[in-house]
Amino acid sequence: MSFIDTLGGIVKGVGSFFSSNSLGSNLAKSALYGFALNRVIKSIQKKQDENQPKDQGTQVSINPDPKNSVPVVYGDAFTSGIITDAHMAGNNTTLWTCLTLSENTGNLIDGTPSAITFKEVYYNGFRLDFKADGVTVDKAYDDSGNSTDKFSGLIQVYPFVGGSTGAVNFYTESTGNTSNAYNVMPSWSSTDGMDSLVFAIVKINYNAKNRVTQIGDFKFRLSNTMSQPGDVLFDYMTNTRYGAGIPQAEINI
Amino acid sequence: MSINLTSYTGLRAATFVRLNIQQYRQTPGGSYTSQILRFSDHNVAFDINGETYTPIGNLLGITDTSSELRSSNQDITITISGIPNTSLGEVLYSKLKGSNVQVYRAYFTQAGSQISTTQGRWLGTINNYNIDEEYNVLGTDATNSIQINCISSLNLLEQKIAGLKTNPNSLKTYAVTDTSFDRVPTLIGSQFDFGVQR
Repeated sequence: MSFIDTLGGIVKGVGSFFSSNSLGSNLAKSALYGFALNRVIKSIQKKQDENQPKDQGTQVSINPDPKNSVPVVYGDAFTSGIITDAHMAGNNTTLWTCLTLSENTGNLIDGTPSAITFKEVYYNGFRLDFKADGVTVDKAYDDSGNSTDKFSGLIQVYPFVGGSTGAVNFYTESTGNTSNAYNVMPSWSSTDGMDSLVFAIVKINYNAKNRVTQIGDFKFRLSNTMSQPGDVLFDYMTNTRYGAGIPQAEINI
Repeated sequence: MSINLTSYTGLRAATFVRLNIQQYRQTPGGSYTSQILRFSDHNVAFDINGETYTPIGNLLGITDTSSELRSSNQDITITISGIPNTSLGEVLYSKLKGSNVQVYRAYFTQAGSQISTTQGRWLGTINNYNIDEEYNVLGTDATNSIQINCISSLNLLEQKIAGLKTNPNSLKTYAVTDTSFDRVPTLIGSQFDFGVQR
């Protein structure tokens, strides 16, 4: 007897097993029907999923005006900044932007250099709190102090003062970014110095569920140690970049 | 600063002009030097801050300015007459435009004693000038007058376009090699398909 005859015998045996009314046969039939039903349902679900509309993302318009003047922040002030660069990465799911916030001011009348601090940052009206790295958003707080996690991990903010090599921490954070801006922002090189500017690089990860689909409205609270009227007037009168450029010798202090 | 003049029966006022010319020369090919010219419509030489002002009397004329509580942006014209032809080269070969102008005023009694201290009256910059020739036909010689138009420092400040603009040219004015704003022009009107996975 060849192996062909043996296989034929097995098939015959299986056929007679299913056609019988024994308990084992009925159990096997039920299992078979269940398996078939399961495959049919999965097939239908797959077709339904294919017919569902995919997340189309959002169109983000960026329209920086080359005639915008960079603000000068004295004392304590909120500023939204001006977008001066943007870069898409991560298969269109990560948007990098550079927000130019202020000029870096000069010395006080007594010769002490002024210092600008990043006090707080708000996103769409929510005050942002940061994780241990000092740049990744953790919780966000509304005006009433209620917190939400909806921006957690989706936004990163890298503050800089005085140029691309001036990485600083937020006032509330003990840690933060230490890399130069041109090592943070994709497509930047060492010639992107952001000379004497105060700015922030913002990284936003797309998340439709949490409605992080746009650049949004950022507001930075900056604090400048140059806040006394005399210092401000002196700086504005003498600064050759954003002020009147009057020689210091011509001012009787 | 106010001066109480009630006790004086008569007084004279004199105006003093200080021109700080950075590029001054007397010959066409000469090298430029810095020169400060000081003159007044007073009748004798007079010192202000240790500097002597040459009296040229009525040969100096200055248009009126009004005295206001706030600083105002009035321009003035300084006219110097009686300049001989031989001295005209100094005006023609020097670069007067942009030079710093300071005008002072002092009051004197009829006897010539100064009343109170010298007051600063006007501060500005030479904006333009023109030269008029007064030819004497009978004498076959000529004298010249120069009218110097001066723009006040306040006017200059009002016209100044201050501040860094968010465009590459503006940034490169202050940082020649900085390319941070180079992408601003190409970003204008750009659209990003945020969240559209390809």
